[in-house]
Amino acid sequence: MPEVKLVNVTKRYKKITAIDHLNLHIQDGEYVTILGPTGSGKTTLLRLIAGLVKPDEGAIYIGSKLVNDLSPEERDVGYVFQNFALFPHLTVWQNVTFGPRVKYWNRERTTSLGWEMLEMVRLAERANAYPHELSGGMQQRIALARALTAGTKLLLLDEPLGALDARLRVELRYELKKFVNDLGLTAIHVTHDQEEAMTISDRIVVLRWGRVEQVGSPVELYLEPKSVFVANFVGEANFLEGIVEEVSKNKASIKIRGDLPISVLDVTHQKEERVVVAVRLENMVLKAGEVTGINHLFGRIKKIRFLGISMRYDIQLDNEDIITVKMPTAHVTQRFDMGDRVTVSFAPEKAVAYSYPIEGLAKELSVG
Amino acid sequence: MQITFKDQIEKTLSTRWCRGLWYALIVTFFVAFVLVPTIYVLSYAITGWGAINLYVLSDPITVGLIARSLITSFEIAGLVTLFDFLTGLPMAWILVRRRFKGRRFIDTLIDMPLAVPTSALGFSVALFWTSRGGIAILFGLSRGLISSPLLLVMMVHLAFSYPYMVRSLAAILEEIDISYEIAARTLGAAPLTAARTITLPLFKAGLVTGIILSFARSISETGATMIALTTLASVEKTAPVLIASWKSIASQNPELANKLIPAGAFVSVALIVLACILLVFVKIFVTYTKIPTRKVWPKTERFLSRSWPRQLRDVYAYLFLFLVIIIPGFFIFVYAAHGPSVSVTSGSLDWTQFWSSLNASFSIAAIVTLINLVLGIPMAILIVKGNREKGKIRGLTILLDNLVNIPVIIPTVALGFSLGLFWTMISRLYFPLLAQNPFWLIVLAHVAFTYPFIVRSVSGAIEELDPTFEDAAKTLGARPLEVFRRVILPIVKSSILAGAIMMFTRSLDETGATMAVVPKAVTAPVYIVTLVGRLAYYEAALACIVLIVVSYTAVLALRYLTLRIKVA
Amino acid sequence: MPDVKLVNITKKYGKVVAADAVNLQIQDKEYVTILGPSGCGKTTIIKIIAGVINPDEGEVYINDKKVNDVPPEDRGVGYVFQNIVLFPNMNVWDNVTYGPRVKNLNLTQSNKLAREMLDLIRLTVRSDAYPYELSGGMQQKVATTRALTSGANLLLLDEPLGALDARVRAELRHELRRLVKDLGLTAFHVTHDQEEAMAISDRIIIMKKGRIIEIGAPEELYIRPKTIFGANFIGEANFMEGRVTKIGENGVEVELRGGLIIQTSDKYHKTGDKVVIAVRPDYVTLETGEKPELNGLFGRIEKRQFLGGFTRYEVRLDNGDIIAVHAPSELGEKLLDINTRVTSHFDPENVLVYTYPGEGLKTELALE
Repeated sequence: MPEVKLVNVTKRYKKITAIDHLNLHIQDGEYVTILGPTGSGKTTLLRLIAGLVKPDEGAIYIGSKLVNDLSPEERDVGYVFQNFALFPHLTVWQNVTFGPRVKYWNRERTTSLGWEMLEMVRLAERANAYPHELSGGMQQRIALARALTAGTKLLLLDEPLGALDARLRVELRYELKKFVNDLGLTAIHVTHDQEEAMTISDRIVVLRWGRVEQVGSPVELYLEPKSVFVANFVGEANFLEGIVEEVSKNKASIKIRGDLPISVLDVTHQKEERVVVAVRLENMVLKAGEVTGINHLFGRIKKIRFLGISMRYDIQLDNEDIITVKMPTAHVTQRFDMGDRVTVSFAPEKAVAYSYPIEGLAKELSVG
Repeated sequence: MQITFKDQIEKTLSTRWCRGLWYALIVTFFVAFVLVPTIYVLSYAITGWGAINLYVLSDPITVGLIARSLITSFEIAGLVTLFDFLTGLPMAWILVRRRFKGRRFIDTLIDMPLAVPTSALGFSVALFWTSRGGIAILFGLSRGLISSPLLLVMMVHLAFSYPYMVRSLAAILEEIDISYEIAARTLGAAPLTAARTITLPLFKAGLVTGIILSFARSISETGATMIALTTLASVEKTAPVLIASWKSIASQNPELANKLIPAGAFVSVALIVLACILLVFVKIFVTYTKIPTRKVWPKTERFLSRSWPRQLRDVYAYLFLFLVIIIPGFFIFVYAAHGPSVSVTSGSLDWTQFWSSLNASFSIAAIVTLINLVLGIPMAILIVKGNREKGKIRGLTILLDNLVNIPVIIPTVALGFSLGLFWTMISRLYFPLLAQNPFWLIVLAHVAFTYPFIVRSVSGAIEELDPTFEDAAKTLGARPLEVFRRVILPIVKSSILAGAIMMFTRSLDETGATMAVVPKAVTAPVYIVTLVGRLAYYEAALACIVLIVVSYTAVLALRYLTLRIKVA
Repeated sequence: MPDVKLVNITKKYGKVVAADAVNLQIQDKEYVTILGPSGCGKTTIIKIIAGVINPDEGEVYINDKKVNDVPPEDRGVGYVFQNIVLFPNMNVWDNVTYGPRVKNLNLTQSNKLAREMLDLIRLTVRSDAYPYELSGGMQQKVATTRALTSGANLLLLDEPLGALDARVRAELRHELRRLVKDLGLTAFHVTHDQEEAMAISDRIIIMKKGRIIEIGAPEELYIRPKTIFGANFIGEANFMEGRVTKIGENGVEVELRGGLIIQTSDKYHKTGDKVVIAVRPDYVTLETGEKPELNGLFGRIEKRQFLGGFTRYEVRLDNGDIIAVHAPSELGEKLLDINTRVTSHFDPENVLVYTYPGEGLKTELALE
């Protein structure tokens, strides 16, 4: 039985439709991330589930119970805010036990659960400190402990790591996942950081302008993006515009700019259709000199960046298109220099063709 | 989960129905006890226009008197506000933008006039400028430095309206992110240019508030004005003084009431209407005037930002603060130290009467504060909540919001007069008892004009409060009452306390409204006015000192409490 | 000739030492980044260079001239803020031309430059817009243009991308570097995001608690970090404690927990030294089964995470330690299942050896 279900939910703010007839099923025990750019409606979605805003249309079910008319305090969800929202006038202990105290739980139960959570986040010895005395990472963990001590089974996280340093974010995201798994909770996590989403989610929901673009596991979204937007938002890709010249069995021959031919595994498009071909950066192969072959394009190296775990090459093809190639540094066998003549190639099965977006490619790729 | 009795009560109280009833009660209180009595004089003037026409407008002498008093009041208020701005702006800048060792001290000093009842302060300032032992000593004069009554009244008004201007300007300045100025400077703008082109345009809202508060304070002031005029034995009258003296005569000579009450009503109405027009004009003017931001004079402005012109500006700001505000304010201590030989006395101080007046003042202030806390805080919450809703409810709330501000703009003496009329009318028709209880009349009058302080203070604080705190409490399971009690209230505690202090001191201060509603009442400030009227200067000085010390101690104690709560 | 030089700069706020006798030199036309966790002092340093704050001790030189007593408006630096700080009462054009106007420079020239710059960032068509009408990314581009048009040669950027979405950040940082390099400026950039630093810097300065920990080009810092903190802050590293047992031909031998022997290429440490070795996850290769080889450690796969371009494995070694391994996806390696028995292997060249830190490993690695 799904833990959270949204059916045709719509939310409008004056002229803007923040959430547009959205349907979503989240299973019990799943860690789901809602991923999208600013303005995609992801925070609104979370607030709808929590009951902090009411939908204009549609139904929201938590644990198969219709909760549209339930106020937040009646929904039994835990919520972690981006700025933590720790009550500044209360100590860590008072913050963490706020939920049980405000629901008048049995004192023993409150105390034992409180300590359990504090110990889980390893901050038991700071129980008497005030929030402003703690670092950002510590505050985040207290906010989490507070949300969990209320005994909830559904955890909602609104960009919980957004206020933290990049390096700290990387460390804490693993911890977050671990806590949720250890406690057997269902988690809905909102973020604009696709790396974060890929790392910890069971499934990712990609949101754009209040609508679901695609739902799937990290692997699915990365290897089988259904649209140009998803291909660009989850991971990075090279995009080549072209027109379909010939279609045969399971391949399409496409002419890109400069009349260069490429071959792509595709069955959906027709002859003369305008398309965009996407190839992930790491699926591009870089060779020195001019090497001929299917999907082998010639060009010159325009930029080389060292990014630690990978090397990034920007190549300007003879047809003026720019291709980016990403290679793991540890596996780089050959040294390249700026201006070198090179060949960029990719396997037909590593490329995906999409119909040319109605509003233009630039708009479809814009992220903010 | 156990459900306790307390829990049950909380649940019941949180229901829509109960909350609705509570809010209806709050709004009814506001309308019945604050709003309507305050503006009643307007309706009185309209219904009693015949009487006004007969006794006032047809008598050229009275008309002349009224006109002159109004002109005097507005002249003084206008000039005072102007000077407040010219000297308050640099001081506000210093307080907010500079960091130096004595800043806390200067901060407290500037607030000093607010903690001290204006009659006491007024007397001190008046003595400083007019008596032989004051500033006149420096010039070797046998009489005081100032002999023009209007100038003296201005000096007195400056002393206590200045802090309002500085506080308003400083509050807005603090809110303007200093990064804007820094950005401008890194782009090459001299500090003065940066301030003029970037900060000042963002400033206008605070400016309007400062102007309104300063102006309103000056135009309202009765007690200190009376004292100042008495020390120079002048027969000039400002409008508030006129109203108060007429009301006083009318209560002592009921046969003159037929003429004087309509006359008083007329002046009150004139005061209210003119003040409102002027303030609306100011608001429009300031909002729509564009400060020249395109023209730059780099060389000049760079020069003016440099060391010695800047220091000169600072010196001028400090000089004004000390010479016009602080020293005259504390002069009374010096004066009293010289002993009775310095003044013309008539009998010794009647301590019992003084203590009883002091007692009355403090009791009134305490009760007024309490009433306003209990009934004003919910109004603040109502307004904030209503502003978040949509459509009709929001419109209603905005209306309420603006209505709450009315008692601030209306000169307190006019307010007192109006209140007096209202409750007399009510008691004649419904509750005969009320007319016989002057204490509660004064309380009601004070409640009316201090009510906006707490509503503004608390609603401002709650609005500034990060909404995620409320959201967090809700998701953790807290019902609305709990949210308020456990989260909102503790966090805005310091604003509540600040509002309480303001109300307490304002009530303690007030002379005009008290005299206008119950002329025979003797609160401490009124008592001092009578002492001065009898030329019992030394006794008045002693009384002033006691009043200053007691008020100041009370305020400092409350301030200290605020600080403790803020830290915790 | 160095463009910016800081000599013994110290700044204290009460008991907190924001900058502790900092010395650094930046060459003309360099793009340098100060990288470090929150509170490390990087913002203090950049504000001291701008003249917004005055140091308690030490001297600041810009173009060989001592500028300690020169106010910000005369230092000729452009400053870009984290929270953007566009003047809200002016439109884009007025914002961008504020600098030249306020210094009464030749308006024809500066207007021309302003127009060129707006073209460069593709916002000419929005010249009349007010800041609140633009997205975060656009606003930051305008703010940068404003700093550049003011005629400054030194650009100071204080976490300029911090307020933006992850995806927007990734795109905008390349534009930042491009603008700076095209105009031949010197740039001083402050950030907590090591990926950002790696992508755009000529040199990176790592700071912690008011002190400079390490300085170097991105490659140096990644391949041969000189400190444990540096190794941990830039990229990821596996840290294992051990003791030097033998000084071999090509480098010392280190004995880890549980008696595992590692061959390194370190020639600095002595027998008996307590050390910490570090290996980057992308330099560890995995093979199924137990393959006895140099630096081959046996263990079991405990976690697997698909991260798009590569897969991250956590391997529990037989001695109890956990190491993280990054395996590139595109090299055709199939995903290994959890609980598979594997051998983790790495070259002695890729092992970094550090003296065990006096205050303990945990403190050294702490990010806040």
